[in-house]
Amino acid sequence: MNLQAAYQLTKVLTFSQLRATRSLRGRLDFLRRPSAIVLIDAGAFIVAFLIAQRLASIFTATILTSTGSSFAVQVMVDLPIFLMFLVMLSGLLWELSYSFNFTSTDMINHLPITAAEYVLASSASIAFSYSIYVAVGLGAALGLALQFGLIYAWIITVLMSFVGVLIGAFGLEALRAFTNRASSLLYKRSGRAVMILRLVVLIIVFVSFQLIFNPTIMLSLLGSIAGSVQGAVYFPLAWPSLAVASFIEDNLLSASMYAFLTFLLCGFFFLACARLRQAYWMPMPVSVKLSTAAYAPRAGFLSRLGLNPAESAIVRKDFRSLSRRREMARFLAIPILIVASLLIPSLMSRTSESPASSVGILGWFFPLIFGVTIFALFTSMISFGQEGSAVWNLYSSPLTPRELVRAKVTANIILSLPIAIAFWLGITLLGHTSFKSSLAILLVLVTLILVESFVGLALGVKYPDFSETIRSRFIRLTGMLTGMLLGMAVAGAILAPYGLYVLFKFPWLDSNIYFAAACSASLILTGLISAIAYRACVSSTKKLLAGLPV
Amino acid sequence: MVVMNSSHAVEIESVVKRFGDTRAVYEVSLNVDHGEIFGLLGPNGSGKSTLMKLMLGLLKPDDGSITVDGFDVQRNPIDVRRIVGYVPESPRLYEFLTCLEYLDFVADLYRLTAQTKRERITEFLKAFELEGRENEMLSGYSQGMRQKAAIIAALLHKPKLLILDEPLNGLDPRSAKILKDLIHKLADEGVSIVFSTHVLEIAEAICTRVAIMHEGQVLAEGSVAELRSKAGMPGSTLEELFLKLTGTGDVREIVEALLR
Repeated sequence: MNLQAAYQLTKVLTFSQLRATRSLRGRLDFLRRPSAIVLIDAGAFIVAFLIAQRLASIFTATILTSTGSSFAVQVMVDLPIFLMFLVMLSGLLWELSYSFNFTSTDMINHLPITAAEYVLASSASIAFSYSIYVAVGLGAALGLALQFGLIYAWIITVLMSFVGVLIGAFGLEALRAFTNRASSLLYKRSGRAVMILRLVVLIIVFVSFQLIFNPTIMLSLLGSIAGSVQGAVYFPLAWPSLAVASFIEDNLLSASMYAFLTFLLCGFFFLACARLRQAYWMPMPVSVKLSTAAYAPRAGFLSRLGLNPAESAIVRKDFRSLSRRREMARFLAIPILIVASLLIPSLMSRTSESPASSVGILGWFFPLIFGVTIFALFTSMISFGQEGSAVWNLYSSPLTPRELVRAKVTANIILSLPIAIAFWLGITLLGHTSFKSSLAILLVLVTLILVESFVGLALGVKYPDFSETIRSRFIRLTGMLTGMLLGMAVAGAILAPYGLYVLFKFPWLDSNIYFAAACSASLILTGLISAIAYRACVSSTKKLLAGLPV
Repeated sequence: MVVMNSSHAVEIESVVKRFGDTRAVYEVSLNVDHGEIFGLLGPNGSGKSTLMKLMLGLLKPDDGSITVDGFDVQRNPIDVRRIVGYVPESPRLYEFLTCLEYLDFVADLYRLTAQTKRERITEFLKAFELEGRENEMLSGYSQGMRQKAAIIAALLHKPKLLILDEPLNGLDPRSAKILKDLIHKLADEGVSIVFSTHVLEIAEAICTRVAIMHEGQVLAEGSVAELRSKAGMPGSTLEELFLKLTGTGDVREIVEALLR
């Protein structure tokens, strides 16, 4: 393997990520350099260190040192596996958008680069992209380590965290190879059913990988199998954490063994990924014939919803985008993934005295609400950016900003509603809910979809990322972070009246009136927030359409 | 025949466009008449594509004004886009759509009726030999086939002005001939056409007038005969004129150096 070639390729992939976005022109141009990332990481490390140290000293002054010490130990033990999971999760959301546009022009097709060199370079650049997680995690761990005399354990944590992040990045490369395979299955095949089959396969691959790398689920599963968390020894992805734990317990032999096994695992992942990439890489774009029927234009149900032909056309196009582009499948996997990640540990922790059916309405409610909220928010946030370079089609056509916003919001609502209704049916059936609860849940789900679609779109249109890099993200980082915070805050506001209804009872107030008031308050809030977000959407769309991003 | 709302199809007045420190278009003033085939010529990076995007309102000028059929591009971009058909250089299409779905999508954006859509899409698919491949996803199309799809999309709504940026890129000889004949026919019906090309023979053969651009400025404008006479090069080809005006005439030394 030519390490020099792998290093050069790592630089190219990193530059392609840093320089592709068009948002950093001018004063922020310095952020396009890898050295800027290193500086930001260094800053984050110092800040995390100072905060952790300060908190640790307050902690030890107010409560028992032993409690603080066990917390510090827990942080260091969990950090490698947690960082591995974070890289996988971020990668699933932002790194797997490998568009067909790049398949035939990718360097690997025409330059003398081996699959192993490519995998190494791509994984290293992914690890570098998310180095901020490592910086914050290790900075905070150092603050705790110094306070509780765990500095040697911290050094092992550093080593295992780096290897853990690499394993996560290799896992992502393996996932990329599997998605290629799922796409290539279709090559030269025809029919819409094949597209649906591919979508289902991709969603299953995404969800399975994410669940495999989810430490909470894995430890719960092992706990339920082996009766205790010690069962983690049978779970290779937990070895980095076990190395740290054994070192802290002064079991140097065990620590060395787990550290050695971790390196072996990393090597195995690397070789497996290289093999997978070699086997599953498909340099030709997929050519699919979807129908043989004669062309017969007809007005669909969208026109009955009050949409004009242009708006309906955009809605139809966005549906096709979501169901046919492999880089979009990850967004469809989000609700399933979130619900599974939150529900599985909860279901597995049930014992015979506390069976799964007793998870209760709130146990089902929050994971499902969270899944629907995140789905509506994410698909809305990316709805402008996913147009990519083809956005000129919208710019050059006689579309008003209002039409574009109406189309995008409608597409998102229509897409999210069936998921919400499926979840609602699930909660109603599994949670044995009363009529009142069932109605409240339905209202919450529908209003959340509405409000998150507007809020997500407002951010998506303000911070779109049309650049088609090897790893397109569709929304700029600022937009994504703001959107997530705002989306959660808005969801909190919509849920607040129901929360008040559940938590505070007033004997002088009729329960039905109280419930109706809570529903009304939530609906009014939804209307207000949606109206504000809609105005923001139209205003930002006007600005966006004023000039094609060059 | 096309109904005209102003004396010129396109009026460009002292337009300036900068990208940071780069002067893409500088003090350009041009008029394109109704039914005229206007060629924009110039070396790579001379500002042709930028000027075309400015005409459509895809970019905002830093200075100057542009009107299309009497509509100010900045004030009435929607009215302008309704009457313009545009084919960018290397058009990026929605790769996940079939050609038919893409054309149907564009036709809906221009609000064509179902009857008109069916008729025009079917006619154009046949003319550009995409019949039989129309239900394939665009991701599997060659560059030439994509170019054809983009050209059809630009023509579907019978525009008054066609802006074609290197429209012959990747087209096979038959399709190129169809497009050239179509351009002539549309011009006869009063449609104005602005197009850029590097193939000077084509410009010479089909353009009523040409403008030669270099470093964002228009160096010369007029019919090829007028340009010859202005440059004092009677009997010269458009290529010779172009090379003289853009200062890129003597390339022998470069070629020799490359061969060393």
